[in-house]
Amino acid sequence: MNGPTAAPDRFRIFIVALTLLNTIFAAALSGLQVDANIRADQSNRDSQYYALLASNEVIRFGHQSAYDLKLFATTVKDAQQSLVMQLTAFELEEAGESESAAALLSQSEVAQARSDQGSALSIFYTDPRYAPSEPDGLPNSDTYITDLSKVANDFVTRQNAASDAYHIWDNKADAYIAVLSILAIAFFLLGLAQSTVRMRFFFAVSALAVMILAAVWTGFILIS
Amino acid sequence: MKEKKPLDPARMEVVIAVLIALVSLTTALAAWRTNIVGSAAAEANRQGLLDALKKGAAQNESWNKLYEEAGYTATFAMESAAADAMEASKEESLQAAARNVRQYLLPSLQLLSEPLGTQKKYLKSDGTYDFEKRLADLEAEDPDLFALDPAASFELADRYAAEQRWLTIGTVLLAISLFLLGLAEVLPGRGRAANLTLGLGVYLIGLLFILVIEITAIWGRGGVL
Repeated sequence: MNGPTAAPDRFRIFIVALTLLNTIFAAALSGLQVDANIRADQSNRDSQYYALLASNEVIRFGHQSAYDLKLFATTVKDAQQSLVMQLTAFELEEAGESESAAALLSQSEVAQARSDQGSALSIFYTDPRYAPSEPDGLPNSDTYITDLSKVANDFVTRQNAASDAYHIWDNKADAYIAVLSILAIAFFLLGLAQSTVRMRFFFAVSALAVMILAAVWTGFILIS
Repeated sequence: MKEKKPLDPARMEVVIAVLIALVSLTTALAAWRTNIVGSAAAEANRQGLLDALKKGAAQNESWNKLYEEAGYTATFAMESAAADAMEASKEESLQAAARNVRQYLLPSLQLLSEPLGTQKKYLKSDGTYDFEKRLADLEAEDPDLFALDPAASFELADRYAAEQRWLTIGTVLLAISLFLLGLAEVLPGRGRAANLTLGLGVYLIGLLFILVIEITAIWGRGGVL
């Protein structure tokens, strides 16, 4: 009598063991899902923070470039005005209008003084990184623009990385939810296997197949 | 009437039912606490972002003011140089203009450039102006806003998130014990005893795990729940 009853008992124990395994699997998966959700939240927050810092930096360098370029433009305008007045003064001198020429020369000196003072304050003439290499050369505007936008670009790079991380973790969290739903099906099948005798084997094998599918999917999520 | 043994199935069913009720209550409490911690993490993140916004707005205002003063300071310096050149000129008209520039234009420009263009502490030895120093002074005028530290809020949020992560694992352990006790309630004989022992063991481990996490986390935050 011992033989025939031992086999169904063992099978029943096998189903209980499967149920226990499924429970532990579901528990571990819940932990992974919460972890993925937390990481997604953190990445999302970092992404927003870096976007904010990048936008602040753009505003800051907007103020700086507006000041620098306005000062530079004023300086160039005064220098050119001075030059034009000087040339006109020479023409007047040649035409015999010495008095007008002298007045114009004085005005040219005033414009030049304005321009010189502007140059003394302008980053394009005082900073060796941007100052012209030759006396009448142009400032190194490319380096200026690169330096000016470097911090903002760094923030944007970090923001993009955080945003990418957010999508990865958010997708993982969603996928874990899908696997948890599949495990719920496995629970249902194992419950049926415990409650029926005739279809016990079918439901147990079905549950095992679903659990294997869930395990493969989880492995794929973990390595992706 | 027959006396019931301590391991009588009917008695065991009642004991297990009481245990299930206790574990259910503990699991519910653990889930509630996990949720509270998750909310605290979200709140710290929200606070950090708000602080970052406020601080950023204050910084933008400081930059705006700094470059506004810088613009007037440059104009003042250039017009001063022009006035010097007018005075040095032999042209009487320019000399007269210089007097008017000094009397009317320069004081107005100087007023607008204050304090960057007027205070000696901002003037550097090479004749340029110390924007960093002026910016530091502007920020010092609004200590509350500039004292905001979004990174500190984010760090706190991360600590709460770590606690939430571990609490979830503890809650899952409690849920597993609940499941095992459920099996003990419905299974007969040895299956009941095994599930009861396992369920009780997992429950105690889960409970201890949660207590250790909570004590460590609260202690780490200096007693803040």
